[in-house]
Amino acid sequence: MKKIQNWNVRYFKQMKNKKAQMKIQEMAFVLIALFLLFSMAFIFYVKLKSSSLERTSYELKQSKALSILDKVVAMPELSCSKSLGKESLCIDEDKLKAMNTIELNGYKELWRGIKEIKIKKIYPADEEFIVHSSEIKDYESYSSFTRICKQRYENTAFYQCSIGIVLISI
Amino acid sequence: MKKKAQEEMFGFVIIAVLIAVAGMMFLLLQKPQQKELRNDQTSNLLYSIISYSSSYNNKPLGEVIEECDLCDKDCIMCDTAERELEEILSIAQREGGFISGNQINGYILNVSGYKELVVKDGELIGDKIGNFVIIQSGKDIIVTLYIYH
Repeated sequence: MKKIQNWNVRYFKQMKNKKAQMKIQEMAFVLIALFLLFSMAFIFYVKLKSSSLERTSYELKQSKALSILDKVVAMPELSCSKSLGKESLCIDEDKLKAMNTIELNGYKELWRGIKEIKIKKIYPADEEFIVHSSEIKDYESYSSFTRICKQRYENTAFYQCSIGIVLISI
Repeated sequence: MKKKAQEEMFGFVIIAVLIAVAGMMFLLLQKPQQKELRNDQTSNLLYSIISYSSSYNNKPLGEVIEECDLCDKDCIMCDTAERELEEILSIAQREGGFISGNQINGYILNVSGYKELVVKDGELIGDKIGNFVIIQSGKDIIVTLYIYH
């Protein structure tokens, strides 16, 4: 009788152990599944954020380049003479030709961080002027339109304007 | 035992659904980025266009458009303006200066005063950016340019 009792106790102890193991296993699976779910959500969120970050960085670079473009066009070394009236917000072709042929040391500080500045006449004629160029060739370019005007004289002085594009590489 | 397993699975599904709903709410409540419609590059192009010295008596294209708007018949200036606008926009697109880093689907330029002049090319689909410029004359002439990308 005592033997049977001992066997019963052992049997129930073993059963309880197995049930506990099952519970632990179940818990482990639930935890693994939750971990996977959270990691998937996190990866999705990070991907979403990084794509918007890339876009923001591109837009910031672009706005920096465009502000440099505006400065280049407004430089007295390049801009049209105000004495000729309303065409003052343009690039003087003669000044541009002069800048194209001389590389002034004084401008090195001004062009710091800029790899290349190119000004191109696109309509009606095609002509290219390089205002600044460095040896580094791996860069991003941004562009904007401008007017390139040439002083002419027919009784009075006036500007004859073409459409141009300013390309800046940073 | 079977019922308990079903209950556990049901609980897990509820947790998964709750997390998914919370995630969706989080994504939906994020402030949507406002797309900028106005663009400096198109504005610069428009100003360059109206002050470009056209082949019509060397006059700025803006003035040619102004004269065309008031012209009734035999309007050579209108033909010149239309032809030059078409050429300029096509070259501008080829040079890639419309919008840096974007593929262009098409563009439309609209000159509206007493007369209407439209220059367009490509497919007018996708996001659009643009700008306008006003030529002040008897009746203000509005030149609008939209780029689709």
